[in-house]
Amino acid sequence: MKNKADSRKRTTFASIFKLGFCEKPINILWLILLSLLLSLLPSLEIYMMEILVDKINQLVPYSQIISVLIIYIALFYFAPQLFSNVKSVIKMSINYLLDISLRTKILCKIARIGIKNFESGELPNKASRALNSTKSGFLRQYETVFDMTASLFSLFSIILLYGIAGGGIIAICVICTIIVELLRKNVTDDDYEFSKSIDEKRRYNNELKALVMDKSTAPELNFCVMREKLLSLYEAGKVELDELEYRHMLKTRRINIILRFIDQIKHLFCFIYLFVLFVSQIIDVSLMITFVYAVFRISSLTSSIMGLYRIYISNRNIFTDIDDILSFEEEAADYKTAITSPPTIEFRNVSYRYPAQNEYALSDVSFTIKAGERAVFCGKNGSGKSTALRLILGYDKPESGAVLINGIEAHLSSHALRAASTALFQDYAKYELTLRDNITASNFDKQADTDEFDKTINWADIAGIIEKAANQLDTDIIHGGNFSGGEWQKIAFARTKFKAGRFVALDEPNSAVDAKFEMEMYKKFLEVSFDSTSLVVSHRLPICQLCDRIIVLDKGRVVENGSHDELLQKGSGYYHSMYVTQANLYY
Amino acid sequence: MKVKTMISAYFQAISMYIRRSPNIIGFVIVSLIISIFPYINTILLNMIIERIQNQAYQILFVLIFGYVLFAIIRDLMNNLNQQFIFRASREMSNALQLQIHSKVMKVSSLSFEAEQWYEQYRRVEHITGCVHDLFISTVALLSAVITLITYIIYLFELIPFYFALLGALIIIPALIKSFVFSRQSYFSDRAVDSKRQRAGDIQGMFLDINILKEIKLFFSERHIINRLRDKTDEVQKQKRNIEFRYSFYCTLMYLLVGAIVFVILSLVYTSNSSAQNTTATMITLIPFMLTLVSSFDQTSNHMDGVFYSTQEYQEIRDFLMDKTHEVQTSDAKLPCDFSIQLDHVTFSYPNSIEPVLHDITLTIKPYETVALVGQNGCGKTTLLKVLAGLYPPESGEIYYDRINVQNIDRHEIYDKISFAFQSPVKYPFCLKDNVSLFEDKPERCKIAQEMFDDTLYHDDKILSPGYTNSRNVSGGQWQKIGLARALGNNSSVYIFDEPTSALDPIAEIEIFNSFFAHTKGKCVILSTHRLGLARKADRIIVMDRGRIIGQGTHDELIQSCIEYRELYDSQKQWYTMRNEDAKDEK
Repeated sequence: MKNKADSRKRTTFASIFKLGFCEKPINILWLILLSLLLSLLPSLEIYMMEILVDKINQLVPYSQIISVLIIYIALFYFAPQLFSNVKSVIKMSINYLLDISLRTKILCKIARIGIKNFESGELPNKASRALNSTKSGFLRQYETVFDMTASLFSLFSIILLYGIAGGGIIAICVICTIIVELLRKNVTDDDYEFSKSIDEKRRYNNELKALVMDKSTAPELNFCVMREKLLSLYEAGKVELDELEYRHMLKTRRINIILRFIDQIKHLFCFIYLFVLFVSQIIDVSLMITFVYAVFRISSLTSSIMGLYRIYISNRNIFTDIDDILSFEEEAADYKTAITSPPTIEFRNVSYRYPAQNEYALSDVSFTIKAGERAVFCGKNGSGKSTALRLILGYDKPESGAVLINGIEAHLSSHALRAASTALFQDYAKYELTLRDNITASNFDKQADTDEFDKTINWADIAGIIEKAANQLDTDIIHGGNFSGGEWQKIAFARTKFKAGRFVALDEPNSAVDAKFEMEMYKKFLEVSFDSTSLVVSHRLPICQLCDRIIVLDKGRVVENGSHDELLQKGSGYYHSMYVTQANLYY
Repeated sequence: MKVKTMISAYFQAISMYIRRSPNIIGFVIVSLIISIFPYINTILLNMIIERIQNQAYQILFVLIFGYVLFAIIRDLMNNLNQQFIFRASREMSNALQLQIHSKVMKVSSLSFEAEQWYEQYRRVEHITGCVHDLFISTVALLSAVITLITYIIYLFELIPFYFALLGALIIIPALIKSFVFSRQSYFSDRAVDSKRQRAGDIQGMFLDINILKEIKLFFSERHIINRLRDKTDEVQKQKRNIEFRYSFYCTLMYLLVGAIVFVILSLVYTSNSSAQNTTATMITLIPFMLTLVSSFDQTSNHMDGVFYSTQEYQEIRDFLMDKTHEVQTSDAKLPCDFSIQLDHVTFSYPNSIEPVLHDITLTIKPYETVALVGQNGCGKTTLLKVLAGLYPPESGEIYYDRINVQNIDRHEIYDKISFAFQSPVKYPFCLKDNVSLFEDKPERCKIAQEMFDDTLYHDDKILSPGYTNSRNVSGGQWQKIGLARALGNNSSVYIFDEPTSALDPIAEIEIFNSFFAHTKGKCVILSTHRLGLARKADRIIVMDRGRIIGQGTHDELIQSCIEYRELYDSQKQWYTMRNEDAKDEK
């Protein structure tokens, strides 16, 4: 694990070129070569056409015309198609490579950005947009630049060959196209802004639909007659989105009609120009005819250059998202202080608020957990228990005060602590991978260690679950698969055990399990927390009694701190009353 | 699929589309007119070139204007078509979705557990664009055929008619290529569809905050990305094979087409029939032929489009007409207090062999408080759902006061029964709306205001991550929301599934007291692991592996049921040591 600092790098064409060239230089060279060859074809085609028209006009015997005809068809039809075909095959492999390498970069980056940035704000939108645009964006830039250059080269060769006739037409086409593009520029920017603006609405609508289609919500939706309401909300949202899209389309259509009109007028001007040249006998009949036909080819060349340029610019819009993500600030990664023994955790006057919230989740919290101690955070819901864990693992830093792991601030040495920790979160992950992967997700490197793996399976008692699964360990788990809540809890617990940690954190690990399993888990916890500092977030009494230190939180403040016996001997206080309340249920 | 069914599905789809958006006829007419344009263009260009050669300048000018005018008209018509299509396609898709939605509201929630039905449902939601595709493909096919006919007519005037028919051969290579490859690419697309979906799922994990937290903790991003690469590599390999073959055949096809163009042009040149201007004819013939080839290039795609869209529409039709999971209800009304009877109820999930509930017979009286206890997997939650009429039993009956629950309308049940589910649905609304669910129940809001502090309650941020105004609430707070939804109704029966599992002990007691306050004198059925709570019930039912192994009060069960005693003692033992303190506090 290296400590790489990413400097701010803009995704310019140069950087894209370098990336592709380093990965597949031969393919890029082929692409350039083919584009060049393709660029020579238009002028050659006009030349051959002129010869053909001349010969046809003179009604030469058929034998003399065969070769010209064949060459013409080859140049006009066969060669361009062949070259484009080869290009598309080459493009496919480059495209895939660039796509996957860019995607990998973005995903790695996402894993290194602080998680608070994903809980609200613009970043989730940006990330999903960036990931959606890797497929076409990157390669398009290559294509557009090469094709633009090739087309410019074609136009240039036409001017070389045909001087006035060719040059004049090209000039007219270029002027008209520039006018068109200036008018069209706003349309492209508009399109992008528009799709950004409805992005969130669309995602929200899709979330409503996903909720309706979800298996797990079906009973409650049916019972509470909420399906109808959600669907009507969805339908209303859809109608609104359709209306917005329609209005946007109308707006751009109006402009597009004008632009197409100018496009056709361009042909008119070209014809008139040719006509004038013909009448002043600057060009002869066959050249006139050739050019009447060639006008369309030349005009499409110039339009395509501007079109390519437009694509190039609009892709730069896409790259803004990719750039923003790739240059986003990462979490600090400090490895000088690797943690090899149970750490000491200290909170010094820590205050913290979740992003975009006004209430403090923790206010002026201070305590120390000694190395090797087993501590539990106890308290009402919303009292700040999980928040403290969040700060310890360095997912965010406190607003004021300091969270110190072995004396160093947590958010600065988060990687060191995480490398030496294992945890079971309340919302543990259900990976879209195989069952084996789900169990070993905490420590993929050790996946091949069969001894450790078997030990973990026995320890967590999941052999039965594995047997029942359709493909045993290789079962692909799709959206949580067919396991029950209790089964998943066991799998998650196995995952936690699979990685040995000097710091063990368990966040509400026993909410959904029955009494017997609860007991087993408490005993197992003792085993897991051997020779490590452990932290449990829970409100269940039994686990508090297994721990060395109980820290009681209420509305973000520490109200009690001591062992089970100490706190009970006080005769009053939150812990005492909680204990008594629970005990009274059984007596 | 039988031909007759296909044809009837096809015509039904088309007529439905036309009935829904009648101005789509305009689209058809415009498209057919546009398909004649290549022919018109060719004739005009022909005339222009002739006039150039004959130096007839005035008419030349007119012709040039005419040509440009036609081009403008064609563009305008294309534009108009886009507008027609835009609206119509969405309207059609929305209409189909509405039909699917209303169907889904008629089925029982058990159908979601039936793999076949559920897959069908998800597929059908995916293909609502099929009718529109069907229509577009049909029109495109018609246009291509018309262009072909105009081309043959044009050729008839130039060369002997048998050669003209030979000219029609130019479409053969295009047809072959598209028939062979569109079919292949369709199948391969389908095959990689699921792989692509999995790759998307794996990538989506990075955008899920809970999973991202773990990825960051365990430094597993590289490994997961490798899994993603494996999946996308598979997709890529398949695509590449097809692409290579496709390019090879395309090259052959171009050769063939080029050869046919050569033959036709030679024929035109050598047949000195009539006073046709050879130059004009030959030069204008080339673009015409190539327009034709490109319009037939897509023909097989369109034919496949018709075929597959018809199949997809048939799938939707089948889904909508399938009556298997629908529930028929009557207008039966329930009295204010009713008993719930289960009579030899056996239940198993649609795709499993083993029943989850075995021969359960049970009566719950109107004013009872009943607690369901047992280990994980014993069937508590399933029993509650079956009780509430959500899952129809395999055998046996459930009665509310002698009325079979399958005959009672859902709205009536919802009126009389409140159900707090184990994991309440997290709607992407603000807290207040999550509690009120847009119903007029002021009592719910009052309860919620007691449970949550003011700032949280009145916050209008949505409780779903990833939006600009998102906020987070904890698992325990969600459970409170679920309870508030259930407690604030004036129901006869309250069902709670693990109502306090995520709450801390003090909150648990508070909720429980508020619980009893709101359900006083009503029937309460709750399932719980917390045996200390279950103790307070009028009757406790102990379940094991889908059967009831004991019923009675706490004291009775301690004596008679070993399983219950074991469960109870294992929890109680944590409080034995402080027995004396507890007694003192009392």
